[in-house]
Amino acid sequence: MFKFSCQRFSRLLSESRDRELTHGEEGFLSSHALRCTPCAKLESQTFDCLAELRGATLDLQPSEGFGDGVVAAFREGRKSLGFGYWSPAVMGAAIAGIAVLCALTIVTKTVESPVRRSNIGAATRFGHVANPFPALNLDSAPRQLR
Amino acid sequence: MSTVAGTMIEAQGLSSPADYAAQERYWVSRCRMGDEAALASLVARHRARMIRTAGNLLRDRHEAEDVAQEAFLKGFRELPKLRDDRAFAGYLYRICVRLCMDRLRLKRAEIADLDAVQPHEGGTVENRVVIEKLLAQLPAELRSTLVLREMEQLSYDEVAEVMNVPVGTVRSRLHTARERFRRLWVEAMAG
Repeated sequence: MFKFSCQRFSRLLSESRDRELTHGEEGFLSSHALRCTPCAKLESQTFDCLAELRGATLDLQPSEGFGDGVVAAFREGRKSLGFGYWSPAVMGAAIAGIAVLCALTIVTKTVESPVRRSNIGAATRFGHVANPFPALNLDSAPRQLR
Repeated sequence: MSTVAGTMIEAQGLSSPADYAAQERYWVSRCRMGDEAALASLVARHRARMIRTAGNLLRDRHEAEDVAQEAFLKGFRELPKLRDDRAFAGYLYRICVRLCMDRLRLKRAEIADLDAVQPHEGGTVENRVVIEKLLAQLPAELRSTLVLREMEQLSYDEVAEVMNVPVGTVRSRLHTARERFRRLWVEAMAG
């Protein structure tokens, strides 16, 4: 029970730096600090160390020419954004284009190849070419083959 | 953010936050078209805050300027990704903090040598050396959360937005960071 109170004290002590505590919370903090020596010590240590932390805040001012340096670096960076920046995109587009062309060529050849190799189907359909596979007439075949 | 913006408004002689915002939107839109004068104006407006935050996170002037420059360049390069010109300041700040966190993750958590620490502005030298040693022992996430909240005084929502985590995570990280920092501080004081 006491441990729980100490944990609550520690949490509220931290929160007291960030928000307005309710009257009940403030009452709990003060009454607990009176009863619990370690928590009272913790309270003073917390305030002291955080005061030192705030005291060590640096207020650095920009050095002379900082702004000019940024502008110059930006200008330099933009110059180097010329071909160097776009070259990967250009290369990628070129490779993709070549790949698409190759794919189209292969597909076209595959589709056209049966027709080019033989015109058997078309010729047979229109009756221009004799059937290369005539029906076998067993009656006219020699006797030995029957 | 509002305090910083207010200081900037006063410094630049603008009459209202609306003027400040309108001027910034104009510069961002000009910047999208490649106007270097607008770019220089944006750098002049935001450099102090960027370097200050990077300095508090990294605890090194040169590295802070280096990261701030990197953040500006990244921000301008990726400007087409920014949908709303009004969000430019937050967008730039987020980039800067994330670059700092990347550097902190890469750095070894080594304890700074007393002689190696350069004197900075603000606070006594001894105090700063102790704080730098202690911060160096915290993981990057805890360190950044603690610095953004305690030194930069951002709200929970702002820290959550900058670090891209839920507010609940910020709350628990902050609690853990404070507790660990306190323990380290007590050990350092005792030793």
